[in-house]
Amino acid sequence: MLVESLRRVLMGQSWDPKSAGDVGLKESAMQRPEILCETFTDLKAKGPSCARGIRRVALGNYFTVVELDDCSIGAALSYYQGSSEALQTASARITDLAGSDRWLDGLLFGDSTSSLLQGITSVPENLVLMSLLAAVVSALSASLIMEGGDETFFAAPSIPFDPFDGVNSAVILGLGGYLETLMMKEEIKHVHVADLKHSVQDMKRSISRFGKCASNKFVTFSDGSDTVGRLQTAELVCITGSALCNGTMEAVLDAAQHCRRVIVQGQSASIHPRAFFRRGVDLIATTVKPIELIKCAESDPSGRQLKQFLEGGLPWIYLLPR
Amino acid sequence: MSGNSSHLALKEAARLLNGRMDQLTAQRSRIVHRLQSIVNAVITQNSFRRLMQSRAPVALAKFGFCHSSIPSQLTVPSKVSVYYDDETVFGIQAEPSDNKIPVDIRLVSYGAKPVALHYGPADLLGPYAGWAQSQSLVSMLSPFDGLPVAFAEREGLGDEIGQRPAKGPGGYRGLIVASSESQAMLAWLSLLFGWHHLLGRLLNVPSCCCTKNRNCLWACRSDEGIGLDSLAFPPSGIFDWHYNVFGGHLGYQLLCHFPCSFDCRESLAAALWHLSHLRNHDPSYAELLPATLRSVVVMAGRCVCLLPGASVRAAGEDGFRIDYMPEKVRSNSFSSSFANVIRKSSVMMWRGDELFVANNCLFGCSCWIFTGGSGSADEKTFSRVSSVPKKRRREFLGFFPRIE
Repeated sequence: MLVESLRRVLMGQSWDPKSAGDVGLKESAMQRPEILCETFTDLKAKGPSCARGIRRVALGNYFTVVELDDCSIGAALSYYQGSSEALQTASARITDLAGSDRWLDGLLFGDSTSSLLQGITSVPENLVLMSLLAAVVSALSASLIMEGGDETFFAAPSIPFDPFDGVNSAVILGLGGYLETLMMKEEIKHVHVADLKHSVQDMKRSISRFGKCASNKFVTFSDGSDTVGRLQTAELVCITGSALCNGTMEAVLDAAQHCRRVIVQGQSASIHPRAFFRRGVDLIATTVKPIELIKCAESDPSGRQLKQFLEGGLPWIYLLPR
Repeated sequence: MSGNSSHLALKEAARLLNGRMDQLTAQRSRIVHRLQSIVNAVITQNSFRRLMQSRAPVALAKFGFCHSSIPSQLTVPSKVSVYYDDETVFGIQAEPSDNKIPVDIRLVSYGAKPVALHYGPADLLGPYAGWAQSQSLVSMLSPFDGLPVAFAEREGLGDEIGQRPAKGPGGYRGLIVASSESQAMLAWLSLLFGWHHLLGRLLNVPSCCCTKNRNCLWACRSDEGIGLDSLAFPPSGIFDWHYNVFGGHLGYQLLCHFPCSFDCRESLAAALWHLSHLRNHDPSYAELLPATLRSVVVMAGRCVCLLPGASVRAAGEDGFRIDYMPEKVRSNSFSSSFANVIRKSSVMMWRGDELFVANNCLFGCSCWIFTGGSGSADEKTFSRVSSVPKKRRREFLGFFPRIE
């Protein structure tokens, strides 16, 4: 039933907002994942350089990882939990399904049976498909990002400018990411941190390590319930890429329309960025995923092995609009 | 009654103006005081000099400079000549003129870059400084009079060709425009002490360009008649239009530095970052950029000519025929015989480093075709154009009669 409700979200139909409550998502913030759907459709139509379909899927408690048959890898943060056995069983079933439905359209948008995900008992399993879709789109985008972009974007391995210059106030959605950079920046006087998963106490602890640098800043925290209001006055917003995987990205970008600068960053943001740029994003900071990721994800669904890559082990790449 | 209210309005305006002048005076004296303090510390305190050479961020933090761009080590000279009077440091600001403010300075006000450094005669820079002040930006003049010719190669002081300590508001100067006092002062100190990489970071110049290209700052100039080191320019070929720094002669450019190569990825990232801000803040200018910068550029000796709207097609034996509109030709020198020859024709042939125009052969020329981005139809059309290896390139050898 929960899978069905998510499928309705993917199809743009109404759904039961109660199913999002367990991860603390604000009901009003969740929308159809237009960015993922749009990018998925565009990339399938355009045709990735070599890939003809999905080779392997690895569901995991940390990240969902997908490999295409051209060895492109995609990954997206998992907003679901399950036992290793259940996750491996479900991964194998979905991989089998990809043999006959190469891009998993039936599972993601059609009426394939939800029994594929049986055994992932930890709630909310309704977000499995969202992470899976994000990982598939990420894999489809990987080759273009690695090639340095196309007529709509450019992928640079480093940037000679500071994307935080010229702003005094910033909102960070998702603890981590650019928090340290913003805290160390003298010119930024007000930083607001919103996170759905971490408590305000956790966030305060994170900030305390910056000591003196934080002392000349006005730092505020919230659980995300006031994000729309905060974005009305912020000059800069840094959005975690994982907002793609919990259905909040579109609402956040809508609310950030008046921000002077919008940056999306994180491991889950490695998708073709055209849909982001159409919605006002100025810069995306993300990574290209190596082939080793799928092996680690398959052998250890807990995600511990993935951390060596996804927590500082991969070089950043920056996507800019052409 | 109305006379009384206009009198009150005038008094209010005068009060506001005086307030602003007081703020400006206070800011200037604060800046001069901080500059004097740090320069004195560099010259007189060995311990401070050692700290600069080992932990520069800590040393500069003592003087209130906290900037992520500060490298861990900075070398400082043992002596330096510099004048601190108000006119030398800030120049004479003029009313902003009707002339378009250079794009590198505008980009600072759009928040795209922290600092702009724009070279030119000081009287030409006055209106730009006035405009910067009207935008609540901070402006200063470079501590030296003259252009740093070998920007990247300078390691210490005293060896720069044509540079001397500036005294007074005039001369050939660099105008520093920054979004904050600290950044303006860091740029000024970078020029004084030769901290090229720090200056590059403040200006959004990639470190590879600071290191490799003697002409790195060449694009940031208001005047013409520039001394060019042609061998330092990238080889001829076909490139993405975003790299066309020569468009500065037409008032259109995205890069505020000369890239180390026309496929420098960091430079393209900077150009796209600037373009993104221009689209938001000056959309009409941004719209004109592609048409203007998609252009053929030819260079012979010290003369650069832009041929906007030119068409290029293959013409046997690895040569290319370039058709252009002579009335649209722009050059950095009005008296150049090269430019005159080009203006008298509408077609030229280009092969390797040779140009054939009317009855003239020109050897040792460069020709860059700036066109669509990667994968574009233009690129496929011109796929036969190959870069001329540097070692094969010759200095401009002058005109020779064409032998038919």
